[in-house]
Amino acid sequence: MLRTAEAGDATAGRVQRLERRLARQVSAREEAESLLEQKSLELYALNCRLTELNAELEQRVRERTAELEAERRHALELAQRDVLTGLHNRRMFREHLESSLQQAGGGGTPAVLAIALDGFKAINDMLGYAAGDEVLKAVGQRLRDCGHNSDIVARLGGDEFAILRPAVGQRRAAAGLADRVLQALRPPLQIRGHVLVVGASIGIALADEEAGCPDRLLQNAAIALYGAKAGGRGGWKLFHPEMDAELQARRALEADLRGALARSEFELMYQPLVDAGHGATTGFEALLRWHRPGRGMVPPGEFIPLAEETGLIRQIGAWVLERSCADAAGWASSIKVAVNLSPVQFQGGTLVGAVRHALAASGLPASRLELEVTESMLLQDTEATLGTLHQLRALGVGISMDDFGTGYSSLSYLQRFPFTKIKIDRSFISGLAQERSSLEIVRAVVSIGRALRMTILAEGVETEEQLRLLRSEGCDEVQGFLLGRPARNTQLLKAACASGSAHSFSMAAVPARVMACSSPAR
Amino acid sequence: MKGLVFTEFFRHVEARHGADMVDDVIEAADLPHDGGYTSVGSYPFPEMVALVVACSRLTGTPLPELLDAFGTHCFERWVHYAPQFFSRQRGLFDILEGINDFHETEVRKLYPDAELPSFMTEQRSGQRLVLGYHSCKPLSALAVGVIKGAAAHLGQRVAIACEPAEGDGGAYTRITIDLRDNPDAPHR
Repeated sequence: MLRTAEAGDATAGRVQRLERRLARQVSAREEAESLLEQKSLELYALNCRLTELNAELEQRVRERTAELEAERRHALELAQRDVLTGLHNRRMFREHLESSLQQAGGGGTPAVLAIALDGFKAINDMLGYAAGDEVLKAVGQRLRDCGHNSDIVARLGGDEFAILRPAVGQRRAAAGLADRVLQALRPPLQIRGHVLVVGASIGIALADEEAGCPDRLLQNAAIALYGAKAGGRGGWKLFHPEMDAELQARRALEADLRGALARSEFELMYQPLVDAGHGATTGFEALLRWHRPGRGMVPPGEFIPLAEETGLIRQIGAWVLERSCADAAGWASSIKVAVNLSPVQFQGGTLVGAVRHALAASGLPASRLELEVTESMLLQDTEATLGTLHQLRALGVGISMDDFGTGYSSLSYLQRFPFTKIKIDRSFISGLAQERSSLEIVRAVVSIGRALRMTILAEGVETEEQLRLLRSEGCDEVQGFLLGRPARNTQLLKAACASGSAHSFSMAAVPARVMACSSPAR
Repeated sequence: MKGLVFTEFFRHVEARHGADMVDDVIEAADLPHDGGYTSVGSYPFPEMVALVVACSRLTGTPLPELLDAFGTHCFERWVHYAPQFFSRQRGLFDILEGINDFHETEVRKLYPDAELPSFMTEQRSGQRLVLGYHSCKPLSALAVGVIKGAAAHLGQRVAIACEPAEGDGGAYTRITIDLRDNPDAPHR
């Protein structure tokens, strides 16, 4: 009985123990479930936060990608553009040219216009690079404005520009574009208080079977440009294969010109300036001639532009001054010598010194030297030029305005520059007897000259009728074949001797006899 | 203290003394709750102290010996959980020095807030390794059990000595392990 009761107690105890164990396990499980739920909620919250962060990150990546893309585009733009003008650069121009050559078909062929500014170096030299840059920018804008939207306008470097017209129907269209470019560049630029006239020369090359690659086309345009410059600037030339030969010839000319001074190949001829009233010779204009070995006499128009372009004109000009002053020193004391100056001689600040040296070396009084300048020179940099002219004037030399009436003929130049003489261009004289307008212009210039106390000289007088009219209009001096052709100094001296006086020249003696044995006129 | 230590302790007691002893120890510890523990929970350290003391009393096992045996159990469980950390190809000293890595990589995955002890090498030669045992709890006997478990895992005889030490971070226990030659010892 006792044993049964003990067994029952043990069983009950066992059951209770198992119940407590079960209760512990249940509570542990419930706690684990609760922790699991808590963790799940935490994970959910974390996941939400991660999703948010991910979205933010993606947004930042998108923004950064856009920034990088913009930067990439900007860098590409810089690599493709000329920084100063914003135009395409040479590399991009070439690429566009290449692709338009590949696409060229029925719509027409690509045309390249190579454009170089005339006298840009002088602007840089005299007004500084900042002004030069402004000129380039302004030119770039004008070029951009004068073409089609499909044209590719580029700055190739320095003052070289180019336009690619992907498809021109005919040559005439390219020429028309060149005309428009020249016209667009014509109006004066206002740069830093200066009024600058920037001309340009253009070479045109059209793609054809022979010039089907970009480099060849660019080269042809450059050759045509060279031809345009050689042809007197301010115009355009269309490339033709002979131009290559011309270019070679021009290079040979330049090589010969460089040594011409040292080889004493230059010579001065003198054309008389005559008093319109009593016919006495008042002076001679020195005219430069070049005896090129194996080629004979080279006209000034062929080598002077090249000499100016290469800067050789400074040395040549200094020689002309020295030689002409020395020659004039041997003439009668009433006879002056007139020497032409190139605009290039005004650059670099050595002109006054060269004049002073020529006078001192020859002993020629300054009052017997006249320096002839053209209007185009005055357009360059009026302040600096004005200063130089005043210095020259202060030396006592005369200053003549040459070819008056052909350029801007601005009366303000006459007022501002210290001219002593105006030379009326031959174009007005040739029509004097036929055109009333020429006579009126001559009359007006004479009256202006009188008012400003300047001597008036008429160039290119070839007939007695012209001389008579000029005399009646009150023109002071005349020059031309009627009065005398250019002659060597030795001929002048011989003629003077023959006329009976080693120190005087007369209209009767010089033209009639001297010119009979003179060399051909210019 | 992480619940895992409690559940491993109960697993150890059950293996040595049976399931009823676990009930008895829990009841004798006079806990403020019914003694339900889950491995992922966290519980006050004094509860562990009460359980260990109760177990020592009920089984007649001295406390250091009890902790020593539990330490060995813990090491065996680690081997079971992450055998790659405790390859028998590695030497004992490498394994002991790798315990910190095991804690930081494997244990933190599941218990990021666990307060883990660390074994810092102070000196090592071919035959001797001196470790600094740093823990916020006075369980160096358990650490010695872990080392013994590792030695047994590799069949390596060792002599282990403990001494109190003082460092920048305060008091800790310095444990010196010397290898004893016994190349033919069977795997224990």
